[in-house]
This record gives sequence, C-alpha cells and structure tokens, in this order.
Amino acid sequence: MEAAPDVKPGHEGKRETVNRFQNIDWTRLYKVLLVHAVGVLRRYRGPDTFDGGQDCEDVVAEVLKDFYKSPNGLGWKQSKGKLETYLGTVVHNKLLDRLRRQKHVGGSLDDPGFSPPAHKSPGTTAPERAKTNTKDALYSLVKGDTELRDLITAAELVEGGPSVNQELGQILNKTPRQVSKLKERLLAIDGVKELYAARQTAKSTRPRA
Amino acid sequence: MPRDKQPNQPDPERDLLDKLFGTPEEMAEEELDMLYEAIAPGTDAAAVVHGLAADAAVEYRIQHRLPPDHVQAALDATRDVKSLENLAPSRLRQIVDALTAPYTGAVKDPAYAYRNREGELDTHDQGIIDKLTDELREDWSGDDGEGKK
Repeated sequence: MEAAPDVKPGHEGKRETVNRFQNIDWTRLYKVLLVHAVGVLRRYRGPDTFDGGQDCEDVVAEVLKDFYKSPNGLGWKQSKGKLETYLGTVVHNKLLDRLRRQKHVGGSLDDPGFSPPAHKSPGTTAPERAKTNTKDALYSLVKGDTELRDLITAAELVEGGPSVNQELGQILNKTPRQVSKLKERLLAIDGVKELYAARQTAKSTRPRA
Repeated sequence: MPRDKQPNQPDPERDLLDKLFGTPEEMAEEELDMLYEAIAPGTDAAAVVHGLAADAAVEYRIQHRLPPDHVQAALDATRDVKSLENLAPSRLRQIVDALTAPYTGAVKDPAYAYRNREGELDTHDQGIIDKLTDELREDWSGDDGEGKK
C-alpha cells in the first residue's frame, strides 16, 4: 500500500515546497543559531561587558520572527545552502549591528547593572583580549584536573572543524565519545558554562522572560 | 595589497572554545544540547519556535491569508502532541525515531552506564558489574524458589 502524501488541505499543489520545509528540524535550527550567535559575540567582544546569552536569545528570536513574517522566508532556497547557515549569516549581521549600537550608547556608571570593560592592554584589539581572557579563564577554572587541562591544550592545536572530537581524540589518545564526555565534564565546572555563554556569573540568576 | 586589520574586526584565528566544540551546524545532537543548556538553561527551544511561528501565523490570518509553508511546517513540527490520532506520518516517524534511538546521556542507575561504552573496563567498573550480576542472580534464584512453592 502506498503511504498517504503528507500534505495539508489547500496545499496539494505545493507538495514539493512543503516537503522542503518539513525536512527542517526547527528545534535544532534554533539551538544552532543560538550557539552560533554566542560564538560571534565571544569572537567580537568577549564576555566582559554584558549578558551575552540573553542578548543572543533576543537576536535569534528577532531573526526567526522576521523569517516567519516574510512570505518567502527571507528569500531562502535550497540552492542557497542550508537554512542554518543562511539564517546564521543574518544572525551574525544583526548581532554586529547591535554591538555597534551599544558601543555608541554607553550606560551610566551609577547603573547597578554596569560592569566595567576588561582592562585594556595597549596595542591589543577587543577580539584579541577576549581570546586571551577565555584561554586564561579556562585554564584557571580546570586547575588541578590534568585530563581537562590536556583537553584545553589539545584544543589549542586543532582547527575546530566538523570532526573536532576525532582530532582531539588522536592527540589525547581517546575515542571521540570519550572526548565528548570530557567536554561534558568541563561544562559541569562552575563558571565554564558562563564563560561559554558569554555571560557574567553574577547575572546568570537573572530571571528569564 | 592586503588591508591592515581594523581594531574591531574579528581575529581570523578562532576562539579556543570554538576550536574545542567545533561549528554548531556540524555538531552532534548531544553536544549541541549541552551547549544550548549552558546558554539558555531551562528554555524549551521547541516552545520558543512554536511561539514565534504562531505569532506570525496570527498576523497572516488577520490579513485573511494562509500562513506560508515555512510557518505551517514550523507550527506542525513544534506543536505539543496530545494525541496520535490524525498526526502527520512525518511527525509519527519523528516520535518513533526518538523512542527507538539509544539514550547516550548520563544515567542514574549504574546498570545502564555500560551501554555504548568504548574501551576497557577498569577494576572499579568491573566490580560494579559483578555486584549487579550477583544481585540479578539472587533475584532470579528467588523467583525460582517462589515458583516451586
């Protein structure tokens, strides 16, 4: 028996188009965009001035809202690549716009939510400082755990591509699954999640909308 | 001639955390979930997507228009399933796949901790397995005794 076509009434003539969107894992898409946004934020600014996780959630929600409100899905077609990558670029641009705006509109020093930017060393750019801060913070958080310290050292040697666990495993003499478990252990350490999420520890208890 | 790097441009070299976890588009489900939980703890991604798509659908309906395919697909995929009746085959397939896929996360009962395990067991792990084997043997022998009564 042939399976019934998975098409809604009124959409019969658009079967091909419907299937294009039905193959999309929307929950995964949201998660990928959020993780991507946090990466962009960390790369440009570093977790030194505001609640990055919260900011990224706003930006991703804004992009998805625009995507759904646009009758042609912001012009995305399969020929333009994966939707995750396409919307990832939109998230990237929106986040940078927001960062540029924040740079021009500074908050009051008396604001209890204000935290001073990281100490600026002469001759270094914001991304360079953020990178150094992340590295130093990671090493100091895993102090005493040699396995995790080795994991971070190994991460310095890889490119971080699609088969990163395999690359790290080769350096550490571990299976990709064991590497994944090590990462899980790393994220369980107090402060690492905040560092990853580009979020300040003190603000992590902020109530969510 | 290459342009000089501007102070606010990203460094071409990737951040250490990005190198460690790789690109999100190619991340395995388990790692993506871990990082998502770090960024947005306790936030249901499906509910967020459903809310955004539902808001957009309302606007289309106010204008007497059918929600476009991408909005409808997002609504269908993230809708709370309360009954299996009249559910689209693709959604049923997703549910079956989710139920039959091996669970790879942390487990409370050590008896489940050895599924999907790679590499050699150390003496401590072997001790736990032996203890569980003995318990199981005792349970079975107890059942046999009850059956004979």
